Parts: sequence; structure tokens; C-alpha cells
Amino acid sequence: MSGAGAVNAFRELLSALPADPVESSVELLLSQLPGDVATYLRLCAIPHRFDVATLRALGPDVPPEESERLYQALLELAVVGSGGQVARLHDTARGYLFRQWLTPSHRVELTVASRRLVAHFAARQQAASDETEIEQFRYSVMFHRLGADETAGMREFNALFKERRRQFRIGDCERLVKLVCEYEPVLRPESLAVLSYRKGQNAADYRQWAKARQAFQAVLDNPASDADLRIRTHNRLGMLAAAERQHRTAIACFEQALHLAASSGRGARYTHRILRDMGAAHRDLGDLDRAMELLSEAAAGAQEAGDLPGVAACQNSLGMLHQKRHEIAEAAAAFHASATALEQLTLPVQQAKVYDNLGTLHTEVGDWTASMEAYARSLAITRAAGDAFGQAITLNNMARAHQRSRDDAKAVELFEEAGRIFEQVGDHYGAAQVRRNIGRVHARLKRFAQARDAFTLAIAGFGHIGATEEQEATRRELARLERRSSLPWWAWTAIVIVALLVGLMILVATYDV
Amino acid sequence: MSISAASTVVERRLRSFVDRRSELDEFCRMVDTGDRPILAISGDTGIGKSSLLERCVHECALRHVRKVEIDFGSIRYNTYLAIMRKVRDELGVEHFVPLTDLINYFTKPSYHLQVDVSAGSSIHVSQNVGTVEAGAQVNVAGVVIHDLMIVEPRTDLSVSEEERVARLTDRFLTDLERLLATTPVVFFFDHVDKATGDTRRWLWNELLTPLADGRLAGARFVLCVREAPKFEEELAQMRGLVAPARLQPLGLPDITEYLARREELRIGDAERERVAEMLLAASKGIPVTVATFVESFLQIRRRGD
Repeated sequence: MSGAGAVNAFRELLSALPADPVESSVELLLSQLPGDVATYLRLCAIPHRFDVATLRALGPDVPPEESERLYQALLELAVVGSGGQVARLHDTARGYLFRQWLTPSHRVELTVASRRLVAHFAARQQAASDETEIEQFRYSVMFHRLGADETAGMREFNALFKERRRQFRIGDCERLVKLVCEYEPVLRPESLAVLSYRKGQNAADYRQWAKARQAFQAVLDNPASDADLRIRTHNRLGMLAAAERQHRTAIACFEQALHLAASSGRGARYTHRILRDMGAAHRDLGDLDRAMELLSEAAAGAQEAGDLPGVAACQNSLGMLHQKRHEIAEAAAAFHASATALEQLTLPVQQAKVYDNLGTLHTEVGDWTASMEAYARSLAITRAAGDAFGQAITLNNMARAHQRSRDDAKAVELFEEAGRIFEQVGDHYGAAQVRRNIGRVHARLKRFAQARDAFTLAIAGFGHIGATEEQEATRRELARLERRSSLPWWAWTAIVIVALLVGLMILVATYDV
Repeated sequence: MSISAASTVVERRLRSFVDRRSELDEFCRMVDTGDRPILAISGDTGIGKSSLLERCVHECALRHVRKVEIDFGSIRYNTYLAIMRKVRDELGVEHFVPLTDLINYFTKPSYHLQVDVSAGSSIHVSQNVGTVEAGAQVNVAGVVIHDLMIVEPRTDLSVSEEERVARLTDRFLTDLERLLATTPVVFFFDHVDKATGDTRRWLWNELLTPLADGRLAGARFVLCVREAPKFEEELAQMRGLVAPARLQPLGLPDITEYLARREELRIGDAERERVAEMLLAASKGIPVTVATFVESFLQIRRRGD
């Protein structure tokens, strides 16, 4: 065909295309490409990235050299970007083609391709040794499982989401939600309800309250949401309100959750958890009696349900509440109960934290022996776990207890050790706080030079990490110290008066006035 | 074979790269002077952000300037830890030994900072933080030390995620600053709009904010992002340090030049003008669409031949 002939043919084709530039350019390209290249271009819109091995998985009957040729042909296209050995379709083109895969006429083919991709990425996950790569393949398996079998895919999504959330990896949770959202137009209503719930959790973890509330509302508005999801959603809405310090709204949400749990016969599973959150809301509202009632009931319920983590959490909350009410024996008993439950769960670090709480409680009432015993237990656990940061915190608390018992030498020694560990693990904030504590001990003992040195180091430490408020507060403490270490105003006045008198006497003696 | 095929395609794309001269000049100025060390390339999808970034990377190669490329479109680089590791691995792990050790501390379950507490509570802390325990990959001859690439935080450690981020970032910036004192580096971040919320916050608040305090001298950043109100807010925080480059659709002269550079089209000047006009009307000047239409035209042409 001559140049002019090709141009005319091109013009005719362009005139018959839809108005959307992306849609029209991709459709025209697919119609003009050799059949096998066009087929693989469509298939490569299912995964997010592809390489020769992915092409082989998508076409298991195609000879390897043929897959190589097809891959090279795809790389030539402007809609395909490549970085080394992996290629990907341009977002707009992939989006357009993936939406086509979700239409009913393509569903069977999508299911077949997705099954192949699940097997392919699962095998690569097994073979990979790099953890980041393993994780990447794991996400790909989940994504394609959704295309192959929605129920299994959603199960995998839920498991992964919960795991990542437990690890506080909210960015990964966001990523997982985005992956599932690609299938949103074809998800069953019950899957959409779960997806909305996860969206709400993720938004709440980012403290995007309005977005979270909107997602949770979508769960409640979805007729396919089951009773479990509804109970949890009401409870989550309560937690959102509590986070925004709207405690009365929070309590109303918790009551709705409780009511639904009871009416749907799911009370045994949920009641103690809801009561715990409700108890906390009453505590924050200042209604300590009601809080005590609810937390006690929650603790008993958790015990009855055999929910040991729940028992530990309730008892710790109860301990703090008793402490707030100055009920020291009860607080100590609750902390002990929490620590015992955690011991059974082999959660040593949490156990160490409870012992720390216990130590602080005993310090408050001046029971130094009990306080030191609790701190020693905490220290033994953090030592065994290799948790240097936890050790530094306990050492700091121990030092404060010694400081209160007027054993200043021991306090300084322990502060110094805590500070050294904070510096070792690179926690400059902790190190600066400890320096300031040391400064305070020296200041109280009127060792002004040592106090000045410690405060100066603390100011530099806070400055180093940009903790300007703490830096300023410490500067003010240093300024107060400087005033204390200098002579008082009346002494300066006396000196001035004496100097004037002496001057006057000299004047009188010299000139014999 | 696949890598060489990919590089041939990249070379061809670089040869047919048109327009964007002012943006490229801005990039060169930034590399040379360090004045406004962030180049923010923005524009709608398909407008050619990644192509311009590819061209800037090529410019680095020509000028022998070190660079690190991170694509947020990949799951692989969508956490602050993955970014730090990528930067470390690209620039040389030997410059980031303290960071590697701190990563191990936060991720390796059996990591043990030796602290001896005797009964009389006289406590001694060993001075060995900074060494890597057996099990980590250590190449003594080349002093190459990798961490264990564990992505999950230790469960036996009571350090909150915020503290972990703060401490790792401090260490990372300290190590990086030492390297930047002698070697300028250009950091390319593609698809910033695809970064997760916490990664994006880390990028702006932890990595780029130190520039405002005069830190990280020697570092230059190129960010590619689809325009959005969020990006405008982020840019506003760093005003004075950012050179914005908002990409516009191609015009008729650009498309004509692009057709001329695609030698395999084999069309005369008069036909080129006609085709350029058709392409502009059909593509609305979006570069990726122009290129896709040209590929269709090439297929028609080949079949005719």
C-alpha cells in the first residue's frame, strides 16, 4: 500500500471510532495487531505486571520461544512500559481492558486465566527467597484468586488484612483494599459489605473519621450485611465516636451493638468485648462507678468465654480505673490478674508492661519494696526478650521510684543506665528525657553545675530531634535553675547598700566633709 | 534477551522523545545548581510524565550523576522501609551499615542487645550495637552487609510504629547525609499518587522536609504525580524548594516532529502534516494515545507492504 493509501485507510478507521481517545486508540490497535499479539495484550491487562514467565502461564500450550516473541512484540507497544525484566500496561489502557474482562461475556475466560495466574504466582511465591518478593507474590495470588473464585479470594483478603493490621501496617491494608476494589463492579453484595467494613477500619486507622463513618454506614445500608458484621460495625462506630471524644454518641452505638448481639443470639461472642469498650467510654466521661460496673462485667464475661486476651485487657483497664479511684489493693489485684492471663498466653512483653503499671502503682503509695519487685519482674522479662527499649523504660521508672524514696545516688545511676540504652538504640527523645530527669535530681540536691550540664545535654537532645516544645520547657527549667544558683535579690540590695556606705565613708575621710 | 529487548525499546522511545524542552532544562538546572531541589512533574494520566522521567534518568547517565529510581506503582516499594532499603542497595550498603543494623534490631526476632542486669541492679550495656550477628549476609572482603530483608516488625518488642519510623528515618538520613557530602544523588519517584497514605506522609514529612532546614545538600528529587488537590497541599508546604512542571498535551508541531522521528513510518512531509492533524483530533494531544494510534498506522502500513 502506498503512503497515501495507508493514510486514507487510517482516516477511515479513525472516523468510525468512539470519541474517547484512550478507548479508541486501544480498540484500533487491537483490531490492527496480529491476532496472537492482540490476545496477549488483552490477557496482560489481568495481572498488574507481566514477564515472559507470566505469558507462559497464561498460554501453557504456547512454545517457550513463541512466548518470548510475543513478549518482545508487546514491549514494542507504547501502552506497555518496561523496567528490566518486568513489563506493565499503561494505567489507562489496563483499566479499560480490565473493565472489559469483568463483563459477563468475558467471565468464563477471566476465571480460567485467573486460575492459571494463581498457580503461577503461588509457585513463584514458594520459590522466592526475598521476603519482599514473597509478599508481592502473595498479594498477586490473593488478587487473582478473587478473579478465579470470589469466596476463596475474599477469605484470603480478610486473612491478609487482619494479619497486616495486627502488625500495624496500615499502608499495606490500604493497598489490599485497593486491589479488591478493582473487582468492585462485579462483587456480590455480601463481599461488598465486607469490603466496606475493611475500608472503614483502614480509614479509622488513618484517623480519617468522616471517611470511616461513611464506609461503616455503607455496611449498615447494605441488606446483605449479616448480623456479625452489623454488630461489629455498630461497635466500630462507637469506637469512632469515642476517638472523637463524643462519649455519649459512642455509648449509644455500643448499646445498639449490644442489643443486636442479644437479639441475634450472638451475645456470648460479643457482649464482653462491647462492654469493655463501653466501660472505657464511661470512664472517659468521668462516670467511674458505671465504668467499674461494666468493666467488671466484661472481665467476668471474657473469663466465662475463655477469651484470655480479653481477660488480660479488661483486668488491665480495671487496674487503671482502681488506681484512678485510689483503690490500691484492688488495682494491684487487677494488674496481677492481667499479668497471670498474659503469662498463660505467652505474651511476655505485654506482661512486662502490666508489671510496669504495677510498679508505678506501688511507687505512688510509697511501697518501695513491692514497687522494686514489680519492676524487677518487668526487667527480667524484657531482658529475656532482648527488648532493650522496654528495659530502658523500666529502668527509668525504677529510677523515679528511687528518686521519690530520696535515694538520689541510686536514681542517678539508674537514669544514667536508661539513658545509655536509649542512646544505644537511637531513641534520642528517651535519652533527652532521662538527661532532664538527671538534671532535676541534681537541681534538687543543689548540685548546680551537674544540673546545668544535664539540662544543657537534654536541650541539645530535644533540639536534635526537633522536639521544640520539650526543648523550650527544659530551657525554662534551666533558666529557673540559673536564677536559683545566683544570689537572691535582697543579697544584691545589701551588697549595693554596703558599697554605697563604704564609698560615702571614703569620701568623708578624704575630704573631711 | 528480554532486558536487551527492553533497552532497545527504551532507546527508541528516547530517540522519538519530543517537546518537554523547558522541563528538561529545568531538570538540568536543578542538577547543576541545587537551587529548588525538587522537580514536581504533574499532569493527567497518559500525558507523558513517566516518559519525561525516563528522559531525565538518561540525562543522569550522560552526566555521570548517581540516581535512584523508585516506582510507587509497584507493591515492592510502597513502604518507607522498602524505600530506605532500595536507596541503600542502590547507593552502596557500605554507606548504611548503622541503618542495616537498626533494621535488623527492629525486624530480627532473635536480635539481642546485650544488657546484663546483676542482682544488685548494677547494669552494664554492651557497646556492640552496630555489629551484625551471624546469619546476616556479610561479604567481608567487599564490606557488604545486608539486613535480613524481614518485612514484619518484631513481635517481642514494645516499640510503637511511630517510634520505629522516627528512629529508622533519623538513622537513614544521617547515613545518607554523610554520603551526599561527597556524592550528589538524584532520586526519582514515579507514580507518587499511588503511594499509600502513610508512605506518602513519610515521603513529604520525613524525607523531603529536612530540605527546608538546609539538610540533605547534594540530594535532588524528581516526583511524578497526577494532579490532585492533595498534591497541591503537599507542594504548598515546600514552596520555594519546588520547581513545578505541569505537563500539557502535545501540539501540532510536536506531533509532526514525533512522526518525523519515527523513521519506520516512511511518509513524506505533506502526508505527515495530514496524519499529524488527524492524530491531534483523535488523541487530543495525549502522548500515549498519539503513540498508540501511530502503532496502528504502522500495522496498516506493514500489511499494505
